[in-house]
Amino acid sequence: MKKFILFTFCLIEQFSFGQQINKTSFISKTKFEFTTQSLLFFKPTGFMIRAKKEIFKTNHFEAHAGIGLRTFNLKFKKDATSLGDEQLYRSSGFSILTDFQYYPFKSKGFFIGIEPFIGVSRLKTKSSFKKTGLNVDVKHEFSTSFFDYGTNHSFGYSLNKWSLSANIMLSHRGLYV
Amino acid sequence: MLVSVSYKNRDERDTDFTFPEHKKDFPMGGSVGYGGANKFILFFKDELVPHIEVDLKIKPIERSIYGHSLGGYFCLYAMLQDQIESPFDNYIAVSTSLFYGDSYLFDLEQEYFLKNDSLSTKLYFGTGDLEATAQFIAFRDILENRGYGDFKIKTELINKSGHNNTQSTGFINGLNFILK
Repeated sequence: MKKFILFTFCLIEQFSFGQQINKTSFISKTKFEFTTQSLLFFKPTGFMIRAKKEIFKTNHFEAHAGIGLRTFNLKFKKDATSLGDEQLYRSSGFSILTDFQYYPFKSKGFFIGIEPFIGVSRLKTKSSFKKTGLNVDVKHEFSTSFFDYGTNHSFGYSLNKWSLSANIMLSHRGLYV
Repeated sequence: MLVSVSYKNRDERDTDFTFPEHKKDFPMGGSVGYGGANKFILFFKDELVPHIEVDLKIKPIERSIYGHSLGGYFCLYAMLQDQIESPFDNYIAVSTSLFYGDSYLFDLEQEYFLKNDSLSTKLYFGTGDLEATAQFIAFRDILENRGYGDFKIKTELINKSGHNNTQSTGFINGLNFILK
């Protein structure tokens, strides 16, 4: 009757760009990324910043290891989504990650990537529900910290020091988390 | 015996699990329409249950139904509606879409309460603590405080679970309660 969904499209990351500097110092082999996020079908709701150090590089493959910080803030209003309940999800998280990118063409422009991550997230939810005809008026808050892991899938294009990519994050925690 | 109901082709859960018809709840689009829960109850009552119990000669002690999300809505609707005799003895409703139909289940329960003082069933009613829980808490409190005779209920905020993480935990915990 109900399909089991092992992985849920949790976040779409949009307008990701990173700065890559081709020098030989430690900082030059470090890539910085800024990514906006949005839940499927909804407006942008947060952002992520990541710093990644190059650990492997060939003509077609690159690998980086690094850290990421993420914030996420989503509010449903009753009439906007017809979910019948006002809801607020606010989360922030820290993760360590490894990024593998494949450049199928010699020019190293277009790339696809996969980025396994593991980390800790803090989530706070608020919700309220009112049904005046039945004298029901409930407000509830909850907050928790939890272990999180998943993969971030990306495709994009690199041009000199900059790259632009679109990403889909699959978190094992599922929707909203 | 565990029986799973699914669809051969197009998913029609929005139609089968809901009553009344209320199109505005799913602005992202649904399958083929809404409001067919009574027909779905009749499918269980007049087709599936007779097939299992008459054709296959399997006689159950009790029949229980489990549903998640909109499936949970169908479970609670089947439990509270009085148009069709429910073929189920027990219900497991997890992460129920209580918002459907301007929270119609609250109205249906109120109607049931005004007509009845007992509810002879076992109900497991759970949701993830990471979901928006206000409607769950409101409905839980109503059910727990009605004082229905013969009504056994277990409610649970499932630990550190969002909407898509409650399916298996809710099913297991619900079965443990119903089979106890």
